[in-house]
This record gives sequence, C-alpha cells and structure tokens, in this order.
Amino acid sequence: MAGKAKGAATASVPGLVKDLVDQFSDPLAFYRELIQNSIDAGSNRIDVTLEYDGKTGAARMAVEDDGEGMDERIIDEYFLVLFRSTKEDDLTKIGKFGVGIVSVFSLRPDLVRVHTAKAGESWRLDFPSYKRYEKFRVSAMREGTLVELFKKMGAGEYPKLAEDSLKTVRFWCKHSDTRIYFHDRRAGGRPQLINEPFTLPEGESLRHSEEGTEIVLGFTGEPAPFFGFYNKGLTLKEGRKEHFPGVAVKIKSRYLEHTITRDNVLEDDNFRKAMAIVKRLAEDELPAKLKAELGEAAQEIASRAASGLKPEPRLSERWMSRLRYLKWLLGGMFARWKRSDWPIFPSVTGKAVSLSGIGSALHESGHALYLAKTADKVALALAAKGFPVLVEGPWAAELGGQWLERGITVRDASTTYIMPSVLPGPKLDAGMRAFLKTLSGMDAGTGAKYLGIDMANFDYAGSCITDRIFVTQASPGGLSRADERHTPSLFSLWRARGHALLNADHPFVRNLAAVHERMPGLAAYMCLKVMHLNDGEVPPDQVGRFSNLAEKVEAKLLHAALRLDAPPRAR
Amino acid sequence: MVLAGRLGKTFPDPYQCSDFLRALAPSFHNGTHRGIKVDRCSGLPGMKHLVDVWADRQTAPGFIVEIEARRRCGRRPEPAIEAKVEYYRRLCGVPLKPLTRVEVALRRQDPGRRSAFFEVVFDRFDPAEQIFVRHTLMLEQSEWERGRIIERAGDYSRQTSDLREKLEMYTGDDSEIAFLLMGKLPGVRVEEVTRARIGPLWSPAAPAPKGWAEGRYVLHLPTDRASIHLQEDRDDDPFGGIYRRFLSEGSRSIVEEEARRLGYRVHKDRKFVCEASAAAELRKRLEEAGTRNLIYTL
Repeated sequence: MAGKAKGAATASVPGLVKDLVDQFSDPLAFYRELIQNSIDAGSNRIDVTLEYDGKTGAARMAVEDDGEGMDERIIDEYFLVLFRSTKEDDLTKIGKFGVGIVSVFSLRPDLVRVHTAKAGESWRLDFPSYKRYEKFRVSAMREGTLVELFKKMGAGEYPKLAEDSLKTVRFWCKHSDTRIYFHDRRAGGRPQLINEPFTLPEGESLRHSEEGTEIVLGFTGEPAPFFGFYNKGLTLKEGRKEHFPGVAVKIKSRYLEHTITRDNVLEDDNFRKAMAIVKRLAEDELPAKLKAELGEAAQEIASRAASGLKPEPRLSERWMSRLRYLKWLLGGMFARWKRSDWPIFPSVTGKAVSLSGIGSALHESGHALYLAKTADKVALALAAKGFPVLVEGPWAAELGGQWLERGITVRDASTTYIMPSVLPGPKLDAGMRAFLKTLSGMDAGTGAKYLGIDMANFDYAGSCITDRIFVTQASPGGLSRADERHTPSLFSLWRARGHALLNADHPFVRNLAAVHERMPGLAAYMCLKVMHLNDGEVPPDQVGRFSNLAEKVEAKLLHAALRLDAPPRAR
Repeated sequence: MVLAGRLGKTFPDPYQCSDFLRALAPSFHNGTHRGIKVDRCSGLPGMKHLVDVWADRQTAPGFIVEIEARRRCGRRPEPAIEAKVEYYRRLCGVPLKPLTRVEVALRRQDPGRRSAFFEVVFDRFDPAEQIFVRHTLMLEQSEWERGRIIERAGDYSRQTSDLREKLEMYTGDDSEIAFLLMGKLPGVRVEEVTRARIGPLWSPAAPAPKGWAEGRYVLHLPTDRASIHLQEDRDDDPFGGIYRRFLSEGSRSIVEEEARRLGYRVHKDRKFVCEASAAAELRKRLEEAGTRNLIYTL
C-alpha cells in the first residue's frame, strides 16, 4: 500500500448523516443504490454476491461492476461528500442527489469496504461506520468498483438474508438495461441472471421508444391498473392506480427520478414530460390498437359462433379486458360517432359489426337487439330479416346501456323466437301418422279451432320449446315469437286461427300416439283438450266466467271421441 | 474471451460482439458459412463474414416463412435447406444490432450558454484494422451556430448525416486526433473522446510478435482517451504511444499548444484476456515494456 488517509465520512453534519441512514426503511435498499451507481458508471455487467464465513461468523455481501471506477479526485470531491454528485442534471444518469452510498450503513454492517480504480490508481476505503473511514492507495491493479459489506450474524440467519437479498435485487433491478447476476456462494450453483423482459404481466398492446424513454401499454379490465416507473430499468415505483382507464403502463425514462426518500417518484417537470408522452400514446396511438385488437377478437368470436361453436372464455376475456378503455374512449357522443364504424362487435353471421351497423339494423327490428350463443337457426333467420343479432357477451350490456339510441331492448333470440321444423307425413311412423289424422279429423269435426295440425321437431339448437307439448304458429315451421298468442275464437269476432304443431318427441304426445292404437277417440280427445286448455289466454277481466275450453266445445270433443271409440255396432 | 474481459460501456458491446462471432461457429451455422477467413493482422474473422451474419439475420424471417409455406404444401426441403432454416431460427433468437451505428443522447442543456451537452456513441467494425471499435464522445454544442452536427428540439436530439460523415472521417486513428478534429468543428467543444477496441486476437492463425506468448490465444483490449477531466498524460499501452510523441519537433509543438488550449490530456491503456498458460509470459513481457496492464485469464 502506497498511502493511507483517514477522515470522517460525509463529514460536516453527523446528525444529518444519521437521519439519511435511517430514512432507508428497507435495510437491503443499499443493493439498489449500489447497482444504480454501477449502472451510472457505465457497467455492462454487475455481480451481486453473498457468502457466509463460518470461521468469522460474518456474512459478506458484495456488489461488483466493470464500470469506470473512481480516482482520488472523484473519491474525495464526490464520493465522500454528501449531496455532491457528478451526475447532477445529467439525463443519461439515474443518480442525482449524492446520498446513495449512505444506504450501505442502514443494515448496520460491521465493515463496509470499497475497492475502486481509475486512471491507473487503485484505492480501498474502509468504513467501520458512517462516522469515519480510512483510505488506502493500493498497488494491485483492478477495474471498476467493488463494494463489500461484512455483517456478523448466526449461520441460521444467513439463508433469510440471502433470500431477502435476491428478492430485493429482483424487485428493484429486474428491468435493468445492464445485466445483473446474483450468486449465493453458500448455496452453490452458477450466478443467476436477474434481468427480465420489459413487458406487462397481462400482455402489451403498444410499445414506444424514443430518446431516453421506453413505454409499454396494455389493456386491462382492472379498475386500478398496474403501473411501473423505471429509470434505466431500475424500479422507482410499482403499484396500482388508474392513470388512464383500463390501461396498464410501464415507463422506463430518463425523466423519472426517485424522491430523496426513495419511496416515490419525484413529480416534477420531468415527470410531467414522461406522463405527457404516455398521455399522447394513450390518446393518439392506443385507439388504433384497440380497434385492431377488439376487431380481431370480435371477428374470431363471430367466426366461432358462425361455425356453431360457443365463445371461448379467453376471447371474451380479451374483449372484456379492453372494455374499460373502450368505455372511456366512447364516453362522449362525438367520440362514439367518430368511432361508430369500428367493427368490434361479434355478430352471429360470422362477421364483426360496428355501432352504426347495429344502429341501422335496430330500425328493422323495432329497436330490439338480439343475442345468441351461436348461429342457430333462429339467430340466422333473425339476421336474415336484417335484425341485429350479436353473439352473447359482455358487449351486450354496454350496447344496451348508453352506446346506442335510447329505448332499445336487449333480448335473447332463442327465447324470444321459435322455429320448430314441421315433420312431413312420410317421416312419421305409421302410429304417429294415424294419430295425427285422427286429431285433424276430430278438430275439423268439432269446430276447427286450428287451420291445421302437424307434427314437428322442437329440439333444434338453442330451442326454448323442447319441453312444450305444442305451439301454434301463423305459418307452420316459420319464425314466430315464442310468446305469440292467438286470440281464442270465443272472444273475437273474427277467428284468429293458427296452425298447431305438436312436439313429436314429447313423451305426452308419444304416449297418446300409443294409446291411439287401442282407443283413438280417447287419445285424440285428451290431446285436443290439453291443446284447447293451454292455447291462448283468457282476458283478465273475464277470468272466472270463461275458460279456453267452453263446455259446449268440450262436449263436442267428447261426443266425437265416444263415437270413435264405440264398438262398430254402436256407431 | 470477449466476455471474460470485463468490458464496460466504453467498449463495443461485448455481448453483441460475441453474438456475431458465435454465429460464425460451425456448431451455430450448421455449415451454412463455408470456412471463415481470419484476418492475419487482427486474428478476427474478416468483415465480410460479419456482414454475412448481419445479412443472414435480415433475411432469416422471410426465408423461414417461405420454407414453412412450402412445407405446408407438402414440399420437403433439402437437408442443406433444413440446416439453413435451423441456423436462421437460431439467428432470429439473437438480438443483433447493426455493426455500424451511431447513438446520440442529450445529457443536459445550459440555457445560460445557449448550449447543449451530448453523448455520442459510434460503433463499427474497423475495415482497416478489422477489429470492433467504439468511440464515445462527450460534446458541447453551441446553439448559436448554424449547420449543427446534432439537431435538437427540446429534449430530443437527432444525428445528422454531417455528424456521421465527420465520425467516419475523424475516428480512424487515436482518440486524440478525433478530439482535435472534432474540436475544430464550428460551435463544438469536445470534453472527451474515448476509443476502445476489441482486438487484435493473437492465435495460432494470427501469431503474436516474437517473444509475446507465441502460438497462444491472447485477446487485446486497448483503450485510449483524450479528456479535459484527466490531470496528466499516461501511457500504459505497450503497443502504442501518445500521438504527439510521434510527431516531428515542429509539428509536436503546434499540437501541444493546441492540447494546452483545449485543456485535454491523454490516457492509453491495454488489457488482455489470455489462456492461463500464457499469462506468466505475457506479464513478464509487459513488465519489460514498463507498462501496467490488467490480464484476465480464462
């Protein structure tokens, strides 16, 4: 050693130094401070190493870099002087205050040793405490800076220190622009790389780079989206707050700095510059990404629906995670009008449709918006009529809310409309065919309540009538409202008769068809009686005076049935 | 060897350089590159090969898509093409950057002087020496001058073609020469120029001078810096010297006067990475040369 000097570190105001040491609530925060210094020193690689010496009973924590190092002038004029930094106002550096080094004392180490070299000079500084130091000129050559902390502790305490150290380094340095390796020598193995890609946990939609700033934005359904602020990849603050509705953000920027207490980001003019970039992206560039991504998700959902497949949860989630931002974007009338041509809503026809497209179709449908899980026959028939039929999903509630004109109703297509398939005679078995013939004959002979009676298949995709015995329709096998009722002849001057379609697969109908073989009159009577009783509604003011099955009609049915079932000689 | 050299940011990015060199290894390129010609002076692959790697990297995505399309049509590629696709896939996973590039970053502004301070990083593979070089320049540029080499709008800087041209012209030699020449540009005050190089590499293919660990692998990592922040000249490069000292008496006094006026000093240094077996011999020769140098062994 060529020379030795002693002094009081950061000399003049000991109380202030103690306060600065104590302000670091996390005693392991020194890793961040040392790594920050190493990055500012132009390092390509930083090694954080821990080991435990059983003989001395002390843990050694070391941070070593391959950066510029320090010569005596920098050590004396900056490193050992509080609030003096060579990096002040330099946008290419992270550190600004010149207080980072005191953080090493917050762990209350037994010794802090700094090895550094620059311009052919090598130095070692020993700090038994923050109050004093010894400086040695060293003959051995070296590069960069190595800071070692020695702390006495029991062997049992060491694993927790190592675990917390890794956690700390990973939290603060995961996005560092400089490679950082962590090595717990006691645990063995190879040094592990701490760096992680600068991406958002829920995926990114927009990445932007400009001088000194890199930003990633992603959509999220969270009311308080994730945000992360970094400088050269060092974490300044991470948390959850709505900077923009439905937008998670990570900003790595030369403009961002810690407050001196390291618990927040300094919200100064530079911070506002960084946030102005985010605002510009969120307002100008993100909408185009939203349109593309929602359109893509809507198209995929629509295509699946058209193929008869239900929406995949991941697709609906993808759409849903963009809803908060979309709602914010479509918040005003003008904003909605401006984006009314975005095809972002999945229709059952296999295409994504826009707000304006839905708006036009609403005029056709009488202001009703229909939803369906897949492109079933009802949904397709409605779409063919020009009605708006969308795939069921979270967009429905919003469309029914404020995005479309007032007074629209949102309905489920398959419960609002029915579309049974008439089964032609040749497709029926002989028993069913005979039963149908008897029914038709008995109905015609007792006043012809129906224009016709047919057997039909009620069990189509999305059907809401599989458990119904029969329905009546104006046009058999066509599309009709599920709640369509024909006014019974009893209450109307003009008979509004419909076609009756019997559910060929219903157990009741099948049982009656079986009974019909032995007692056709009874089977037909039972069936028609049920149909009469359940067809149409009695006007509320006449309930009690009438029922759907007038006594004289029932008598007619009964007589017809008895005639049919009487032995041949009694007819 | 490159990664063992503990190279800070003043050097060409060691990870980039090693990625370029790694891509030339037969185990990486699957025989796509037919033989590598090593430059006899630098001991590194010739520039042509590195440009090939960069070109392959640009071509790779399109080529892979095309082959995959053919594969989908039932056309099975030839084994040589398969090997190439595998190499290209591997190459796509490597974050390569162009061999030659300039990056400009605004450091700060001084409204009082109406000037701005910039850091300029110029990377290239030197076609003359056939080695990787990085120049880092710290400049102050006055806003009063017209025809500035770096445009600035607010906090944003933009390099001009003039800057690139000047860098190409002035950085072919020592940092001191670049310092002097850049400092003569109107409105430009140079604070520091650092030149750091990866190479040459002594090896059996590019042997060392007689008596210098002949037949062994020794990688040179020289640095030279001209800076107003240095207190004195220092030369620890056994294979180079301070530019001024090589000049004739008459020329030297002119340059020394200029150096005094500009207030810069020069440091030259060189570190080495070598096989462990070569270290002792190398150390001995360096002691004889009277320079202090770091040696990292593999």
